[in-house]
Amino acid sequence: MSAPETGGQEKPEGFREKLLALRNRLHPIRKAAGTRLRSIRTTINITFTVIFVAIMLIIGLTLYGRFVRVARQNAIEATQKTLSQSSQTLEQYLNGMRHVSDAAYYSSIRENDIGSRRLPEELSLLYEADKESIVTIAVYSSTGSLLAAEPVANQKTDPDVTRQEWFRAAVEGIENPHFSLPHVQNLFDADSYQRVISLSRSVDLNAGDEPETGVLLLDFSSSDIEQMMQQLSGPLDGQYYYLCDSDGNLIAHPRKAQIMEGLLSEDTSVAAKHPDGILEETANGTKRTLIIHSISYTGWKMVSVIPNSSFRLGMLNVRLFIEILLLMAGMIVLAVNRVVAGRISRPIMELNDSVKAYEAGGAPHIEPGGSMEIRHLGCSIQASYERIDRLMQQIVNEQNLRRISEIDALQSQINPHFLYNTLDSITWMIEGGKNDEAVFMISELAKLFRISLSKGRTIIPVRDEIQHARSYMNIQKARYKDRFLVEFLVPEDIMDCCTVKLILQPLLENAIYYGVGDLDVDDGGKIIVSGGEEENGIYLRVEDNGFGMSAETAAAVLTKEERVHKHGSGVGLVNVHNRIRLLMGGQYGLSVESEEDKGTRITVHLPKIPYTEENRRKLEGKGDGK
Amino acid sequence: MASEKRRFLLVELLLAAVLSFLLLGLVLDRRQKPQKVIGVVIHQSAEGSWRGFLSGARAAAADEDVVLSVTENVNLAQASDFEKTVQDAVSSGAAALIAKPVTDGASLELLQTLSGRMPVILAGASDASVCSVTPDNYAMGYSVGEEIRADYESGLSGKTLGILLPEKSSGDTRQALLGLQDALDGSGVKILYEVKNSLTNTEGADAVQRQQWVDIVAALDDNNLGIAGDLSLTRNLHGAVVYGIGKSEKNLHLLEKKALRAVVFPDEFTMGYKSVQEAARALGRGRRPAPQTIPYKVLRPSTLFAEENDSLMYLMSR
Repeated sequence: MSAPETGGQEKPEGFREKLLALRNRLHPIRKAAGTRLRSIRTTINITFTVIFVAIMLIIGLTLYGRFVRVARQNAIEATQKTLSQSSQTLEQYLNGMRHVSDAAYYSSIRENDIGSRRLPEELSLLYEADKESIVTIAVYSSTGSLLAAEPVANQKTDPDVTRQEWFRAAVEGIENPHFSLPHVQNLFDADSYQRVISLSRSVDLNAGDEPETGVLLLDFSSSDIEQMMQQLSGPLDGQYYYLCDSDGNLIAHPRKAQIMEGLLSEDTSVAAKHPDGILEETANGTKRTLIIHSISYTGWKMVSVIPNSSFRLGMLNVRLFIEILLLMAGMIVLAVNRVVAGRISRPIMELNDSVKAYEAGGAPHIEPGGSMEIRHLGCSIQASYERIDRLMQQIVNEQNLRRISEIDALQSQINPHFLYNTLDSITWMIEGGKNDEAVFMISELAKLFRISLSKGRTIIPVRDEIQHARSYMNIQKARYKDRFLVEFLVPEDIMDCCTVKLILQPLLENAIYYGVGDLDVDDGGKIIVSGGEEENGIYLRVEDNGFGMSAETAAAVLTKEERVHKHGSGVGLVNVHNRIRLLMGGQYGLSVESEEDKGTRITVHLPKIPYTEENRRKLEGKGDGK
Repeated sequence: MASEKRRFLLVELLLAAVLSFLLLGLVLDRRQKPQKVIGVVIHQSAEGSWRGFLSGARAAAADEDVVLSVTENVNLAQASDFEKTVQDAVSSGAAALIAKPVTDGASLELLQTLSGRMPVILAGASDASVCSVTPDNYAMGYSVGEEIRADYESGLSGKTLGILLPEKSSGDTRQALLGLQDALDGSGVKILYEVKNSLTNTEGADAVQRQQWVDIVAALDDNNLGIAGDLSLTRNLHGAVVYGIGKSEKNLHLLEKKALRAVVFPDEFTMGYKSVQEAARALGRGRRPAPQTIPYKVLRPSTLFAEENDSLMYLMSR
C-alpha cells in the first residue's frame, strides 16, 4: 500500500480541523475579554494620545505656574518700587513741614520776644510761603494760651488745647517734633471743618527775662496725603495703599470713610508691627500680600495690599491661551497619531489578515510588508507554516506507513500459502506414516502462531522472536527436506531485550526463497541466525550462502517501497525496515550486505532496551506517535 | 474600523467645540465689560444737605464697580417733573434707580411700576410698596424727645414747646413727630404750636419768628433746624432752646456754637452707600433689593469732637 497523494500546498484535513479547533478555543477568550481586546492601531493611538496629553498637561501647568510666579514677582517688584518712591515723596513732604517748623522755631521764636511784632510777621512769611498745605502756625504757652497764630483767626471760645492730643504729645516728648493723626481742627472759627495733621513741638519762648516753654503747632492739611493714597490705589484691580501709625491707627486709606463708618474693615495690627518687607496674611478669608515701608521720623508705615487673586486676574488671558494651545495641539496630535498608528499597524494588520485567511483554510501565503522586523516576522511565520505543513504531511505519511505495516504484519500472521503448504506437508507426513515428524510440525506450527499473536503486542522479547524464527525454520526445513542447514548463534544476554515482532521471519523467508531454497543438498546451503551487542545497541543477523545479489540490487532492497514478491508471505524487507524505524527510531532498522554467488547478510539493528512491561508500552506508544 | 473612525471624528468634534468655547471666552475677556449704570434722582434741597448721601453713594459705586448717573437739585415737586426726570435717567441707560424721598402719590406710583422692571430704591423715606433705605424716623423723633427730657431733670411742667415741620409733611415726618410726642408724653410740656415751614433764609426765619414764644423749639427737619439755630445764635428766638433733626454741616456749626442744644444726625453717608450697594447687588444677583435701616447719632456740643463722632467729622471735613 502506498500513502494517499496530497497536493503541493493543500493541507491535510486533520490539520485544518486542528487550526479551526484552535480558533474556537481562542473565541471564548475574546468573548470573555470583551472590549479590552483592542486592535493594535487603537492601542497605539490611545497610548500616544495619553502620553501626549500627560506631557502637555505637565508642560501647561508648569508654564502657567511659572507665569503666575513671574507675574506675582513682577507685581511685587513694581509695587515695591512705587512704594519706595511714594514713601520718599511723603517723607519729603513731611520733611518740608519739619523745615517750616524748624524755621519757625529757630529763626522766629528763638530770635524774637514772644510779645514782639516781628514774631507774627515772620510766622506770616512762613505761612504765605506754603499756604496751600499749611492750615495754621500757632504758638501756645505751656498753659495752652494762644500767643501767636497765622493766619489770624478767632479762636474758639473754649478749645482747651491742653487736652488735645498734639499738645500733650509736645509737652510729654520735648525732644522731637511730633506728628499727630489726622483730625478735625478744633481751634479757630471757620466756615468749614478742616482735617489736619498737627506737627507740634515743645519750644523755648523769649518772654522778657523769664525763659518759658511753650508749644509750636504747625497744622497742615491731611488731604494731600489722602489724595496720594487715593491716586496710588488704582481702580478695581484689588491693589491699594494705606498709611497707618505704629499702633495701627489709619492715617490715610482709599476707603477710610467706609472703614470709619463700619461698612468695611482693615486689619492694620500685623502690618503696623511688622518690619519693612513682604508679609503674607489672610484677612476676611482673603489671602493677600502686604508690602510694608516705614516713613522716617514718624513711625508711620506705608502699606501696599495686593490680594493674591489679583495676580491671577491678568493671567486669565494666559490661561485661556495655554488651554487653547493645548486643545489645538491635542486635535492635531490626535489626527497625526491616527495616521502614524495606521502606518505602523498596517503591515501588522495585513499580517494578521494573512494569518486569519490561513486559519480560515487559505494558502499559507503571508504578506511580508512594513518594517524590517515585521517583514522578518512575516517570513518566519511563512516558514513556520510551511514547516508545519511538511511536518503534518510527514505525520500523515508515517501514520499511513504504520497502518500498512500493521496490515502487512497481520497478513504475515495468516499467510494462507504458508499455512496451506505447511498443512499439506503435515498431511503427506501422516499419509507417509511419519507421525512423529507430523507431530513435530504441528507443534512448531502452534508455537509459530502463538508467538505471532503474542496477545496483540507489537514489541516482544528477543527470545520469543528467536523461538518464532526457530519454529518457522523447523517447518521450512521439513518442507525443504533438509536441503539447507540452519544455525542459531544468539547469546543469552540479549535474549531479554526488546524487539519488534516478526522481523526475522521475513528475512528468513527471503534467505530461503532467494538464497538457499533452490540449492541441492550437496551444495551445502546454510542459514545462520546470529546476534550480539554493540556500542549503540544490539543486532540480529540473518546470513545465507545462497545466490546473493548484485551491489545495486542490494542497495535498492530497502529503498523500493513496492516490490513484487515471487515467493513467501509478501512482506518485504522495506516493511520490516520501516516498522523498526517507526517503533524504535530512525537510526535503527535493516542493513543489507550481499555479493553474487556468495550469499547475503541482513543485519537488524535495535536499541538495547530490557524487555519490561513499562518499556514495551513506551515503545508501542512511540510508534503511535503519542 | 468604521466605529474607530466615528469615534475619532466624535472626539475631534468635541475638542473643536471646547476650543470654540475657549476662543469665545478669550474674545469676550478682551472686551471691556460695560459698567452698569444706576440712576440717582435727588429732589432740590438745601445746599449741602445731600453731600453725605452722595459721598456714600459714590464710594459704593467705586466699590461695586457701577456708574452713577446723578440728577440733583432739580425741582421734582410736581409728579410730571419727577416722571420726566426718571424716564430720562432710564432712557440714558440706568439699570436701577435710587430716588430721593418723594411724597407725591403719583411719583410713588411711578416708582412702584418701575420696581417691577428694575431695582428701585427710595432713599431717606419709607414706603411699603418700594424698597426703602432710610433711618427710623420714629426713633429719631423719640430721641429728640429724650434729649429734651434729659436736659430738664426736674421736669418739663410749665415749659412750652414749639414744633417745626417741613411744609409737605410726609409719613416719615409724621413718624418723627409721633416719636417726639411719645417721648414727651407725660413730661408736662405744653406744645404751643406745630408749624409747617418750608421757607428758607429770611422768609423762613420770619415765619418762625411769627410764632408764639416758647421755651423749647423742636425742629424735625434740617431746614427748620438751621433757621431755628440761626435765630437762637442771633438771640432772636427769645431764649428758646433748640433741638432737632439735622444732616447739614451748617447745623453742626450751630451745634458747636451752642445755638442748638442737641441734634439727631442721620448717617447720610451710610444711606448713600447702602442704597447704591443694595441696587448694585440686586442688579448683579438678579434679585429685588432689600430694605435697609440707617443708623443715626445724637450730637451735643460737648461730644461733637469726641472719638465716637470722629467718623462723622471726618465725613464733614472731606
